[in-house]
Amino acid sequence: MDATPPLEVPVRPWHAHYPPGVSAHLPPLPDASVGDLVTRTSAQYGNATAFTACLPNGMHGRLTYAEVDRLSDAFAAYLREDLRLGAGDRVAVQMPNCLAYPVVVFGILKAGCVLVNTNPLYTAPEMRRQFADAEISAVVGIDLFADRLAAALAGDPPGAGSPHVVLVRITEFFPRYVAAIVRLVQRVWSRVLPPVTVAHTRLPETLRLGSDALRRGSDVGSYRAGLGPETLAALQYTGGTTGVSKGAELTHGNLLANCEQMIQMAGAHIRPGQECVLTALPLYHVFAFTVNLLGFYRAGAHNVLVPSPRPLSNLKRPLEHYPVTWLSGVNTLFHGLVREQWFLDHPPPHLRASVAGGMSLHAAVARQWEEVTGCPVVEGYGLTEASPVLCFNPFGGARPGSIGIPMPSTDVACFDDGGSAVPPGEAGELCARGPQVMRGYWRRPQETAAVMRDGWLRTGDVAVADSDGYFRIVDRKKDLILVSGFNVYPNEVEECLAEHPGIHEAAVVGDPVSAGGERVRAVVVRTDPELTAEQVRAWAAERLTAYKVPRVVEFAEDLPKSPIGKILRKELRHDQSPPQDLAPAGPVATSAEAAP
Amino acid sequence: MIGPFEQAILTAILAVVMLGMGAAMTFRDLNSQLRRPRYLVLAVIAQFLFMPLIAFALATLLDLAPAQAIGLLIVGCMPGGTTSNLFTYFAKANLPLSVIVTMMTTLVAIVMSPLMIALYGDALANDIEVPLANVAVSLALLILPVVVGIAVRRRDANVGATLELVGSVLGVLFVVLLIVTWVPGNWQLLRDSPWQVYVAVIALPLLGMLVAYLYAAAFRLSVPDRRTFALEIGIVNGPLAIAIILLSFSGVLREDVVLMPALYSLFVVLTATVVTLAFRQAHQRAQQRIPELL
Repeated sequence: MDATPPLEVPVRPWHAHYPPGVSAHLPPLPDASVGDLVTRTSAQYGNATAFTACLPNGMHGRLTYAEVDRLSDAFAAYLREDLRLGAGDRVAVQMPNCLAYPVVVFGILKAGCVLVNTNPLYTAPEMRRQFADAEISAVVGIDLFADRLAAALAGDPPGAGSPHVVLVRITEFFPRYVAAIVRLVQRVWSRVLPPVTVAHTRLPETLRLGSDALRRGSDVGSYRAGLGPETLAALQYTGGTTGVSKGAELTHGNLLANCEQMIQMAGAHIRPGQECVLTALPLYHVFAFTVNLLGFYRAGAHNVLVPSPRPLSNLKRPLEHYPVTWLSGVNTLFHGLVREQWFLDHPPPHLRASVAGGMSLHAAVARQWEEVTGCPVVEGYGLTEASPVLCFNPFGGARPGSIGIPMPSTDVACFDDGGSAVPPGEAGELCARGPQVMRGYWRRPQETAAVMRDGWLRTGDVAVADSDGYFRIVDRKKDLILVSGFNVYPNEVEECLAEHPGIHEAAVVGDPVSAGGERVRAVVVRTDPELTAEQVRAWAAERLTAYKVPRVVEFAEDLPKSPIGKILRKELRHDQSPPQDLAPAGPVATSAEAAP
Repeated sequence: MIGPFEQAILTAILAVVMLGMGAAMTFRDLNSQLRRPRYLVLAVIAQFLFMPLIAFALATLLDLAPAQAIGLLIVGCMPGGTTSNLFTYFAKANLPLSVIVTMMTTLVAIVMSPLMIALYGDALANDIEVPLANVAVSLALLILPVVVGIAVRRRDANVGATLELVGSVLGVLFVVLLIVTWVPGNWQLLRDSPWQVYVAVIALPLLGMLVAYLYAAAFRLSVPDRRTFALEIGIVNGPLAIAIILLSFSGVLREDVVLMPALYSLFVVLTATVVTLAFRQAHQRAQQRIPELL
């Protein structure tokens, strides 16, 4: 796409498919910032339960809307008054789904600081890279992973100075005796609490300090006063199309717009103040962040947070104890649930709708899901750079294998390499523009220029438009491997393997697996003939997050290369003809892509 | 045998354990089982079909003395024991199924136990009577705490989950206490019993579990349900057998007959622990493995 892409999409045939009452254009946003939304919504729903965190055995804690507002105010005041952070300072958040998450995240956004969501599964070097790139001033992490956090922060500080550390517990805001029991079990039985060696402040202490500051007259409203839709809200890390980890700059306006678009698109399916949404996907991921955290908060829903959906039986109690009406998930989750006997015996009786993102939803899984639960699961598409949702299947008008139609106020088109729009039925690179598209990558003008042109975001996915405005993903341009919704960039894994003294070079590709998605396979040229596959995997496991570690390691004499020496990964792939169960009616799509 | 004091403590602990088991369940769980009445009927049939037969076969093959043979037979004709629920819980098998089947076999036992004892015991068994009071106690110890536990979980899941945790910890304690109170008090018994008796009391639950598992597999029950069948049918109500014998026999004969349920009660705890641990590991291996989501 060297030529300037066209600025106009002449027709928007999808407008005809919006459900009744949905406007093709987004109404003006009522809030200037996410903090405004939180405060306004909290006042509206006051004593209704906003969040419940539910552990696998049913132990739980809950926070009302009013409490979330008050506690996040206190955390905002702590950041500004005690840590003396300024507007725009970056604060990393690294925790599984728990009650501390909304309090901390809303606090950061109310303080005018920039949220840096960090995958809790990251290894210390991965964390260190991200913290250094974002130049974080503070990090809020979970005590379960304090050892890795300490390792990431050891030695030279990754940012400008040594970041402040705030530690939270999974049982934050639980009843006291329940928290004590869980703590005892964590310490004595499951032994999951590492010794904390890093200097830190515990969350309750930060909230006490923040409340004190508020009592002394600090005004959270004044932090928010300077924020507008153009203000940077979050750096959401992703490999993008190139695999170099970088922060997508999402503004308050991006997040609010995407949240509003989703609510518009759901129409009457989201009843304000009446929904109960199960959040099994991790909130640090942009899909759950925007849809579950922001969208359903805005809708006044009761949000049931599950710290981990693995094993799937962890979802049994939450589904028993709460009248779940909405569920967001990925193909793997829906596929797994319809294979659990307890779920088949008692599918959630109040469920009204389910949405899928992250990876393509298999038609067979969607069908089974609807048979079991009696309500549809509709698929959407997006990517970190678009906050993330670009397209969604309208309820009642979902097409299997399709990513649906563009959201209100969103233009989506397929362009050829020359930058001109291709007619319906022909494949081209999916490009999009809209109020949810990021303003660029954090401090990476070249990377930004490579994907942004005149407000159009190039997704790197190849799609076909139907004549009536539905889109289907047919291929992806990038070599990335999709492991259950996670993007694995071959470059990163190959570099890691090549550092092994017994390895000459390596190529990494994805193999399709029946459960959906792919698994990572490495083809290795070794210099040490004694080197085993297990040793290679162990080497990678020490350095990479688990999902990036090759599941299969093969040895080869050499690798196929292009005349200029570029490894031809394509020739190493097995998926020239994917197995039957992997060839759904639709595409191998990448939606709502993961941070790297 | 164990003394009345130990008996009282064990009963009290068992009540709390069952409260915890109840708190591990919901009415929805019970409902899931009641929707499959076929499984319940299959289990009750298996209880009174296989265990008496296995006991009879063992007594015959091992050529046990008449008193020991009738003792073993009475054990084989007993309904499911409450401990089977505890072991099913630890094996991560189907606890609600186990609880319902225990209730059902205990009720059915009023008729079926004397019938089966008479059928196999023939001349050996003279007017066996099932003491209804003991059946009532067994049932009460099962139903009351379980219902209360379920209700507590329903009312407040935090309290329910705490009860479940306390119940399971006490459950381990219960098993340990059973052994440590039993062995020293019955050392003489253990030393004096012939090897055939040991073989019989160890083989009875093990064979029962094996046959019940295969039986459940033959009827295409799910693997967790097969494990439940195994534990439920192999582990019978030993104390009830003791009560029956104390009521129906007298003198030296009584001492000889009661040896079998006493020894069974000890060894079934050991064998069931091993089987439960094996089931638990197999369960964890067979869990649906899903990758990290996103």
